[in-house]
Amino acid sequence: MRLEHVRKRFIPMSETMFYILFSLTQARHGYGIMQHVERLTNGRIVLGAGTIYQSLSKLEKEGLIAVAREYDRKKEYLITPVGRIILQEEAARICELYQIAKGLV
Amino acid sequence: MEKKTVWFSALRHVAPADYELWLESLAAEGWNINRVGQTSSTYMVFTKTEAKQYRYVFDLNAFPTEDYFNTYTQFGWECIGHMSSCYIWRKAYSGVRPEAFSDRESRVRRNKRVKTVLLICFSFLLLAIAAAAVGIGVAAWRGEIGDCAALGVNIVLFGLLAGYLWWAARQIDRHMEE
Repeated sequence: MRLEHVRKRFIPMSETMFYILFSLTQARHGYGIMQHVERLTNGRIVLGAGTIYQSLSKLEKEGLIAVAREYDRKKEYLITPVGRIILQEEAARICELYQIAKGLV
Repeated sequence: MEKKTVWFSALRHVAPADYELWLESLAAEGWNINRVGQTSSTYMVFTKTEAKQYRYVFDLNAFPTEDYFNTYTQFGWECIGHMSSCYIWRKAYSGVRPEAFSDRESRVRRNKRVKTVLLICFSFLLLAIAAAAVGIGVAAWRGEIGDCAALGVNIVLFGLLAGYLWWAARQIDRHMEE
């Protein structure tokens, strides 16, 4: 089944992929994603052009994001319903890890 | 204007990160190149300028889309050309060295693409060596000594090339996460 295939490919997710997919809960282009993630992480993560291009290509190919609009040679992407399911499942996995990890500190 | 020609640079700095650092070290010494083309894998002509602090990025992309170029350009990178599918990007900077591949996963994916191309070429060479070996067998059976010698030379040349490609793939393995 399609969703199962996507689940296997994306969960567990890298930190980069999680932040990119999370950023696309609102329509953004590549540079906008970089700015949003830099703000979210207080400058800890600054995504590069090659990383963003590779990640967006992979997410679009697997149907987790789709092009929302194009203007001024920029493509804005937005998360799809499948992408939202995967993002929520990954968030649940991270919460489970957090519950266990917080007892260690 | 002073110029310097460098031969077979891509053959000597096979790992992408090595190639990038090599270009950057030349720029820091004041040797710069503003255009890379198909012949650059054979020779590159650098011009003497003032020392520059450039970040170079080597990216293999066999089917670049308009979006590929637009994404890099939006991030402030300048494409100075390509050798086959290997695109060379550049950005002047001060302070922190900028990254186009900002996480380990994307660096590994970039390096694996380069290694895959080398291994495909290596496989074709092995097939060519096998074909030449079969040819020697047939020629020997027919008593055609001249053909045996010619095919033997081919095997040696293919073997040397295959050996180089194997070495290059191992170099990339050593720098896989860079």
